[in-house]
Amino acid sequence: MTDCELRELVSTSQEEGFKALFQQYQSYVYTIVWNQLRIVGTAEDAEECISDVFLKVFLHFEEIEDGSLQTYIGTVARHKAIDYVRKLRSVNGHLDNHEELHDIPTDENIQQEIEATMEHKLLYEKIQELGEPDATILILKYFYRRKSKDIARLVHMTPIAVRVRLNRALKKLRQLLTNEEMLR
Amino acid sequence: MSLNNRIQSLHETDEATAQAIMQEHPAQLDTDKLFKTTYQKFISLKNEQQEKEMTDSEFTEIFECSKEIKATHRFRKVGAYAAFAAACIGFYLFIFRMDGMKPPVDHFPDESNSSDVPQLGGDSNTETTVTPIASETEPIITTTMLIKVPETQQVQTTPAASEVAQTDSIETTLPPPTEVQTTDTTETTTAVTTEPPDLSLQGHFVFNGIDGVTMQISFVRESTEPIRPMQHSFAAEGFTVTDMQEKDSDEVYHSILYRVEREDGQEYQVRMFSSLRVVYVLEPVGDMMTKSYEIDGKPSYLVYHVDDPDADCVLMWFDGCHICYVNSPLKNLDDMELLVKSQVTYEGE
Repeated sequence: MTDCELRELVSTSQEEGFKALFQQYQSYVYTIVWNQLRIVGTAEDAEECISDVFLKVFLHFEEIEDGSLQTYIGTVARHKAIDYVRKLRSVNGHLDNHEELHDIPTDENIQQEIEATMEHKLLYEKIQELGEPDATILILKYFYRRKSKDIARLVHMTPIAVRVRLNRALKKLRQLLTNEEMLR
Repeated sequence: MSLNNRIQSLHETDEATAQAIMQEHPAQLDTDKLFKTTYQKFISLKNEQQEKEMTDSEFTEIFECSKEIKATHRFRKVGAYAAFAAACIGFYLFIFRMDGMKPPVDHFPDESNSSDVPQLGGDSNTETTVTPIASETEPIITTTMLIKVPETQQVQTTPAASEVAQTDSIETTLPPPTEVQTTDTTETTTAVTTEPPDLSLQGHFVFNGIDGVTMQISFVRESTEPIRPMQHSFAAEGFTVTDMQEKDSDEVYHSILYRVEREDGQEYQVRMFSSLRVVYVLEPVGDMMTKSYEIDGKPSYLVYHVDDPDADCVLMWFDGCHICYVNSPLKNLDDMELLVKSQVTYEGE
C-alpha cells in the first residue's frame, strides 16, 4: 500500500488506516528497534518501544509529508530506540560495551570481536539446520528473548510442548556444534 | 563457554547476522494486541489534548470576563466619586445661593411682630398643616388565590393570550407571610391556614442579573386535608430563581413560602401553593434554557420557554402539574415585571 493509499484509508476510517499502516511498517520498526535494544532489552521492551513509535506517528500523521512516511517512521524508531536504550541502561546499570569497545580499540578486542562474529554466524547456521519449528523456537527464545508462553502462542503449541522441543533442539544443536569442534 | 551461554549470547551478535536472523525469522509480534494498545493510547492522548485545549480556552474566557468585571467596577467606582463630587459642589452652590438671597440680617425677627412670620396661604386666618407623605408605595408583590377545582380536572393547557392578560388584573399588595387571601372567582373558595413555616432550604437568588440577593424557601408539610387542584398567581418585581431544589422529595407539601430579600434589604414574602416535589426554576427572560430534570427517577420535568424577547409567556411543566409563568412586558429587563400564574394538579392521589 502506498503512502497515498494509506492516507486515503486513514481519512475514510482512521482506525482501519492506522491498522494498515501498523501492519505495513511493524517489521521495519521492529528491526530498527531490536537492533538497538537487543543488547539491553527484552522483547517486551521492544514492543513497548514500537508502541511508542507508532503512537508518535499516529499523533503527527497529518504533518508528515507525502512520500516521506517510511523515512519519518524510521527516524522516529531510531530516536525512540536510543531513548529506550538509555533508559534501560540507567535502570539495569548496563555498560555501553559497544561504545567502550569503539572508543578503545585494541588488537585483542578486535580479534575477540571477529571470533565472536564468526561464532555467531556458525551458530545461526547450525540452528537453521535444525529445521522448523525448532529453529524458530530457538531464535525466539535466545535472539528475541521471548517467554515460553509467548512462543507457544506464536508457534501454536502448548508451553510444555515448547519447552520439550527446546530441550531436544538444544541437544541436537550441541551434537552439531560438537561435530564442528565448536564444543568440547 | 557452555552451549547455553553461547546461545544466549546470540542477541549480542553482529549487525549483519542480526539482520539475517530478523529477515529469516521475523519477530512475529502479536500485531492485533499491540495495535489495539497503541490505538487506545492514541485515542486517550488525543482526548486529553482536546480537554486541555478546552480548559485553556475556558480559562482565557474567564480571565477576559474577570477583566471586564474589573473594568465595570472601576467605571462604577469612578462614577460614584464623580456623582459624590457633583453632589458636594451642588450643595455648596445651593448654600451660597441661599446666603445670597437672604436679606442682610440687621436684626432677629421679633416673635411679637407678626409681619416677620411668613404666612402660608392667602388667608392669614387659615392654618396649614404639613404632613409627610410616603414618596413611594409599598412594592407590589403577590396575591395568592386559591380556587378549588373538581378533582377530575386534569392539567391545563397553555393559556391563551387573553388568559395572560387577565392575570394582570389580579395583582394586589403583598399579603402577610402566613396569610392567604382567597378570592371567590369561580366555584368554591377555600381558606387555608398553614402551620408556621418550617424553613428548610436556602437558595441562591439573582435579581436582574445581580448576585447577592438571597432567597429562602420553606416547605409547609401536607395538612390532613390536602388541597386539591388549585390555582394561584402572584406578581413580583422582576426576579429570578435558579435551580431551587427540594431536599426531601418523599414528602408532599402543599405550600411553599418564598421569602425574598433583595440587596437593599427589602423583603418579600410570596407563598406558592402546590404539591410539587420539584425544582422550581425561574430564569431571567432572554437567558432561558430548556431543561429537563429527573426527580424520583422519573424524567418528568420540562421547562419550556418561548425564546422570543417579545414573548409574553414562559411555560414550565412538571408531571401532572402545569405551571405557567407569564412575563409581561419582557422587552426591557429593568422594567420587567414577572407575573407568575400557576395551575397545579396533584399527581397520584
